[in-house]
Amino acid sequence: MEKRCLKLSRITWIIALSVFVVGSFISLFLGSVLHFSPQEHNAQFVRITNGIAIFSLFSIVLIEVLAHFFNKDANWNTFVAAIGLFLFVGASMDTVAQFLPPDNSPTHPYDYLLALTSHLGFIITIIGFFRFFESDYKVSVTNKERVPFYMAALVSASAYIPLLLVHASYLLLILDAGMTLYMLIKCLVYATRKKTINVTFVLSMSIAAVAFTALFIDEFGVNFPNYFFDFGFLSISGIIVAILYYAVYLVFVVKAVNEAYRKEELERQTKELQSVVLKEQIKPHFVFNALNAIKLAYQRDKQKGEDAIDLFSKYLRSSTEAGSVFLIPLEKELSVISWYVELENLKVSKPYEVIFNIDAYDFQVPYFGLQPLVENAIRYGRLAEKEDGHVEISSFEEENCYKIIISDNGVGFDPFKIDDSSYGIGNTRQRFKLLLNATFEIGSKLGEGSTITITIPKGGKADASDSR
Amino acid sequence: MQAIVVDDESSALHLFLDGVVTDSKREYHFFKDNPKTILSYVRNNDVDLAFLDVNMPGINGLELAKDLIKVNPAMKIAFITGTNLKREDLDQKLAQSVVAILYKPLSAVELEKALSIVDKEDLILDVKTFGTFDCFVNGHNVRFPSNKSKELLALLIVYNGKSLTMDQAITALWPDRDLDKAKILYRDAVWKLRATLEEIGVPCVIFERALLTLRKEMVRCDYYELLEGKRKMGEEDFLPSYEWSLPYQNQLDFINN
Repeated sequence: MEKRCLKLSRITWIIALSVFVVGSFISLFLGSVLHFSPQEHNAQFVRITNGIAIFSLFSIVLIEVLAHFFNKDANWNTFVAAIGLFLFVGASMDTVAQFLPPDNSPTHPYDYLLALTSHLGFIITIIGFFRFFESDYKVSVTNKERVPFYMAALVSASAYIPLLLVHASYLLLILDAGMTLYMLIKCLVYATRKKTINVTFVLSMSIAAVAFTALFIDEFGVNFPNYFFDFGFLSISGIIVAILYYAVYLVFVVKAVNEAYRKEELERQTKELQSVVLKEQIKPHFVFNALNAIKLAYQRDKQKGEDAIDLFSKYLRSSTEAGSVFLIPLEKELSVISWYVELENLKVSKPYEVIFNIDAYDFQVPYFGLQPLVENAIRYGRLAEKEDGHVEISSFEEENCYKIIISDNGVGFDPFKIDDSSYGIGNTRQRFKLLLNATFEIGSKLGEGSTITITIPKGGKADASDSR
Repeated sequence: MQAIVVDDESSALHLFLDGVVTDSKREYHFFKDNPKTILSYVRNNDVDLAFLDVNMPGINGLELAKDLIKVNPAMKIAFITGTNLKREDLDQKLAQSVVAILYKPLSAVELEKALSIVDKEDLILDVKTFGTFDCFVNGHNVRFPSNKSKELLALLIVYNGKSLTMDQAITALWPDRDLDKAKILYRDAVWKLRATLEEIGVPCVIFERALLTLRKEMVRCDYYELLEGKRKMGEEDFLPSYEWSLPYQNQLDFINN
């Protein structure tokens, strides 16, 4: 597991670093040809920090693209937010100082473009995070919240240039600050309520912190006498944001790779467990006993013999099919159990009684997940010795889960002697846990019978229509 | 109309003949796995249905199916296979012409279901209520693994299409049991009846929560024919094995006297 994660990190580190370095040089070059008003002796410093900030963000965008190839869970929202942030911070560096109201105004058309890019970048970022919040936290956002938010974004985006022309662009800061504050509060409230801090939270916090600072400076920066102070501040906070974003993002990617690996491991374990069960099904002694019973049935009655063969082939087919399918609808598993019981009943004089007390069946169980439990009950319960010896399979739905109870009134067993490695219960219990996160409760009283209660939580794979 | 059956093993062809005797609509022609002979036969005759084995030395069943469809796009295909072939494994275009995948050893019941799909005719349940209670599909006696589920169906039959509630069923079938146990046995009988009807391919009962209703259009019953005057009553008793049938037997005696 360790090797795979490191490999991904190394690649992304290398790419990011090279983009970083190349970017810095390009930025220096650009800085020398761009119109730039602050005092010359600060320009160099600012250009360098500009470059570093811009291109570290650019590398994050690249990581996002790479991550998509490694892990299909990376989604468009983070990508868009990354691009937005890149534009915002990148363009901001060069422009903030230039449009401090109401004295300075842009002189070069390029400055307008930069200003617009910066502002649009901010809006894209904040929208990106809004949508990320929605999908990452899976919090349902009502239209009451969504519409004003998008309206504010639209107004802020479209009114920027016009207002800039009349030196009133600071008015939009109200909208921008509003949106940022809203995101901040939403994240804070959610994190405290759910007591979780995750990628989105850290990201949103850091972006919001820097954006807020930038807006703050923007609004009040006209009072600072020193361009260097506010400009430098902005550059440095931009770098801090970039590093934070970068670090958090890498963690996120690494976690995603780990998760993919864990899924693979889970599948492997399940397959192993499943094959143990299936080997039992086609053991020679089972097959020959069945053939023996079939022969007997044929001698009594041709039709009964044919029915017995049909039964056996249906059962055998299930066990070959189960090699490649992990979960099946409850109905199908119950069919497997009824064929098994009928086959067993061909061999005995007093047929086993299995009662299907089924009240809910719209969910999935592992293939050959219940059959071993019924087989155990029949084999070890010594039901024939009891007058009304039977096995009962009940299933019903509760608010948050489905329950299956397999009970019998046989001789029972000592629950403390259950060995988790024993074929019947241990194997089945593990598969239920791995595939459905289900739990087992086993109870038994010597002489009175046993009960196995399986609780399958709702949501996730239990209700899926097909699963691997 | 004609149908062809293709398998490289003679035993498979023989078994097929045994199971298909009830199909009177078609002439059946049997072939070993020689694609040239088969395709030339299909080109010169009106064949609408082909039963094909899948793993044959002469030609792969799936390939043969594709070739047959090229000759006659309206042809329907049914595979008879010892493999675990599933519908999902077929490519989409082929899947449209495949009506069934039958697994070896061939089962008469599955064959009936496949034919009913091809002929677009629902299977009918023939019910005999006098003398014994037995159900048949195309002449094959339906096997009910659970006696109580068979009895439940009999009760539904006498209800004549009216819905049967859980309480009514329990009163008739488990009159001496305490209610909790009776409910469990009711659910058991319902589940097993569902399974049996699904297996034979005649979904003649609507299963709702604690309510069962017979779909009379899928049932042909001597009792109904008697009620409609299409049949005369014979010597045999009506549903003799079930105690709750007595009032219905009395009613019939009254009608006929």
